[in-house]
Amino acid sequence: MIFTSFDFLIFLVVVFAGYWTLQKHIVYRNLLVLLASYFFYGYWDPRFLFLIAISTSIDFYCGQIIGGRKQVGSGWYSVFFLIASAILFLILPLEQLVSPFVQLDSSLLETILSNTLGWQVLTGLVICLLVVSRILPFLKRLPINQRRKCFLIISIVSNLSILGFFKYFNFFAQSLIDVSNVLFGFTPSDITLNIILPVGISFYTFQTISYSVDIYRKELKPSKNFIEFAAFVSFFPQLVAGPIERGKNLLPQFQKRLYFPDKNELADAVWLIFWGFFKKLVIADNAAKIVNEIFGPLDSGMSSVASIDGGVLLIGVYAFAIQIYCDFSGYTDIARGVAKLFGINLMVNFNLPYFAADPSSFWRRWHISLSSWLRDYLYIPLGGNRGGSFFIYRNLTITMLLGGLWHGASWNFVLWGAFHGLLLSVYRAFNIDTETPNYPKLKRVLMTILFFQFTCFGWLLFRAQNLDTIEHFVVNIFTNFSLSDETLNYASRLLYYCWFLFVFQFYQLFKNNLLPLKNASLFIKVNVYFFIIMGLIALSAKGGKEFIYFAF
Amino acid sequence: MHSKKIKIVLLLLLLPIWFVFFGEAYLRLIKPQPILPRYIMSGDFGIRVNIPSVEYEHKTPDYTVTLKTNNKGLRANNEIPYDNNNKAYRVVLLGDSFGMGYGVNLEDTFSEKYRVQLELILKRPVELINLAVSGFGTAEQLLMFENEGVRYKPDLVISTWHDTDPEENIRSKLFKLENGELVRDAKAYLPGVKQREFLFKYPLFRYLAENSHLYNLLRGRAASWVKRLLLFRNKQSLQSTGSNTSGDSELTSQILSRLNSEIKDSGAKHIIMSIPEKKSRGSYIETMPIELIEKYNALTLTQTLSENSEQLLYWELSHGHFTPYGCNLVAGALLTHTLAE
Repeated sequence: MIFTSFDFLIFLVVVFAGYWTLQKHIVYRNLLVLLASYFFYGYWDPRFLFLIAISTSIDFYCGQIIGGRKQVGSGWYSVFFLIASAILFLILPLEQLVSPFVQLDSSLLETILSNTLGWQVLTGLVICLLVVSRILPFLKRLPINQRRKCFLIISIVSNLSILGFFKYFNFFAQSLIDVSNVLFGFTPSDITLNIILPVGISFYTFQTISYSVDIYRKELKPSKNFIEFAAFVSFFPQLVAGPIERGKNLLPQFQKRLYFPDKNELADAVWLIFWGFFKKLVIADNAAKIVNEIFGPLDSGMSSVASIDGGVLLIGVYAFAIQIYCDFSGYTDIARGVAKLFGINLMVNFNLPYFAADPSSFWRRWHISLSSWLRDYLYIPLGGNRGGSFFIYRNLTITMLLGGLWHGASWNFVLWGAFHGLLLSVYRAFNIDTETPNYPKLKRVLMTILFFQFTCFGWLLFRAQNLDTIEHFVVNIFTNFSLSDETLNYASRLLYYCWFLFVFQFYQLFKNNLLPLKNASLFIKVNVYFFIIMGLIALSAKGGKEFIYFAF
Repeated sequence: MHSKKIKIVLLLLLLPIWFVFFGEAYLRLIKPQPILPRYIMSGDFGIRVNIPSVEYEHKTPDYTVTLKTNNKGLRANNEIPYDNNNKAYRVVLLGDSFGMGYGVNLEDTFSEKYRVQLELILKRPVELINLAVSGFGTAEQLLMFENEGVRYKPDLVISTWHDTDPEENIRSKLFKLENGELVRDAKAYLPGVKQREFLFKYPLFRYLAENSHLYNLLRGRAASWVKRLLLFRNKQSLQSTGSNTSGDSELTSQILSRLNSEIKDSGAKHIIMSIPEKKSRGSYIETMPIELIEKYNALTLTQTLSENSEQLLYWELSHGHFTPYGCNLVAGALLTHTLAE
């Protein structure tokens, strides 16, 4: 179910009403969030709910032990939940539960008996549980520190295994085939599998890993209530595309009684939802049309270098920079707004990233939940800023390479990560920090413009489907640039849809507030809202597109 | 406290009014809307017909054209009696807004250009009876021919195919398939006509329909929602009666077959012209199934249009109807096809 669908609106109204009816009963409220979140996710493809269930069960159990408990009575909830999920998986196809118009053409028993994959999963699960039940007593006899470490490893390995198999198996298998072909002239038989990438898998696995690590570091107490924990893992507004929440921020909000948002909180929530929709439907989806028109022929290898005006290509890259920002930050805004309606505050994920004048500043403003995750759980454990320059550059490069790979199983994401690692290292080597208080203002403006060009080059690496496309863009932008009618036409189309974004972002910058309308006069508020509503009615691109980050 | 309440009430009253003015100004400045009022009413045979003897304008960022109907609701400057007193060669045109000539003045419509050219070739009067009504699918074309077209005793009937036809035929529910046989279903399909007839009694609404960008935008959005809802509902009922989804195209195929046989029975020739779907400038897609094109030797336009794709053939800032140049090409292709037939 995506935010821009009518189905989501109905879903939201129903869950909102139920949630505040159960306001006083924390357990039932969390149970409703859990069921709603699984329905929300299962509406897309119920098969992958099982992966969330596995991740949830393992991390809940491991969390208890990492937290220092030896006897985990409530750990049985994990086992029950896992088995219940597997049985539900067995009576799939669940599409029939969420789509009442599809008629069952066989009896439930036949459906169960013929579900080969379901039986395989259930059998595999029973075997795993039997093996685990034999190993657990041995692990529990370990000294407490070793036991904690051991269960942390189990948690991390199991999450990364799920992620690795579903997201990266084919990538590494194909790379292995390619490498052996190039190096040894030997092509192994095809070892790739027909794997569908489950939506949001990178987001919730990172969220659960951070939960286990935070408990290990004693920065968080493990959740004692399974439903509360399962609701935390699967909370639907941020389940499929973040922000990647930390247990420290989100979990306590599921543990206490929440109160209906007051006037100001409601105003913030409504604004975030409207602004998010505007960024997605009006700006990102219309910019996507320009991007697809310009990148499309190159993606399919149709255009030759000479036939493309460099000016047009540059506009294509700028358009993608705007598209990806508005698409992703639009999603985050809607997610934050929806969460606020439920009295829950999600972290800020974007803070005017294109006003960054250096790469460190950019990563403190862009996809903050991921960059801070990488910093806390990868960069710092690697050594962070400790050791000599070599180690710092190494840590930066490894972190950014893996950050790039997090986005997708493709070499262009690795290249994009490497490019950002290089930028961070170079800026660090020259000791450029534009955020020091006495940095000259004019210089900062110029550095911002310069760094935006670097960012856009990064987006070219990110968006291009092949190395030829990158070469075509770079060669033509530098050797075949002209302000032709076509270039000006594309530029004016892009400006037509995103001028308000520029105006509003400068307003946010000068007010130093991401929600500047809070303190604006009623007249301004009303007119900005009317402007957004009219934009949504009149300028939304036809044929709604999925959010880009669903693919990650 | 009392004055605060009054303020809130005043604000609630003022906001919708301000929204209307704001919305109108926004659209005029940022996204001018095509203003294409439809002057239609309920016909005697359960479908929409054009209101007779009216003259109105269609205004879009691309063009402004005048539409005029005669006393039978046909888009024409002259009256055409049922009896062929002039011994003219009579051509009946069935279709939707493309056939009616949205986007161009009467003299630029493909039907009028075709009539003039055919007259020159045949060296006898040619009368073109344009029975097209915006929004028509194949089912309505059939009913229009049975109830009106046949009365003109045509020599030739041109019907048009548009990619929306299969959906329109489901939406209208005028026909259904029963054991593979085409039977009449709903007595009437008059979407929004009663409401329009009621509203158009008031000069303010007529004024809004002809001048307000906001009114036209909201009306268009509402119509689109209603159409999707009707399509969804009727598809569900098709499925619940055991028809599969491929019944969509089968239904349209059978309606077309009946239209063809009724035209043949009336002694007229039948030409089907398929209007291509425009994907982008220079890219046109044929939407009529190939088996139907072959069965009826239908006139397809994709090649003609593609060969002239450097010209503006469809309007781009309105609802994508033919430009005068596009109409010229269509008329030429239609004439060639007619002579070959």
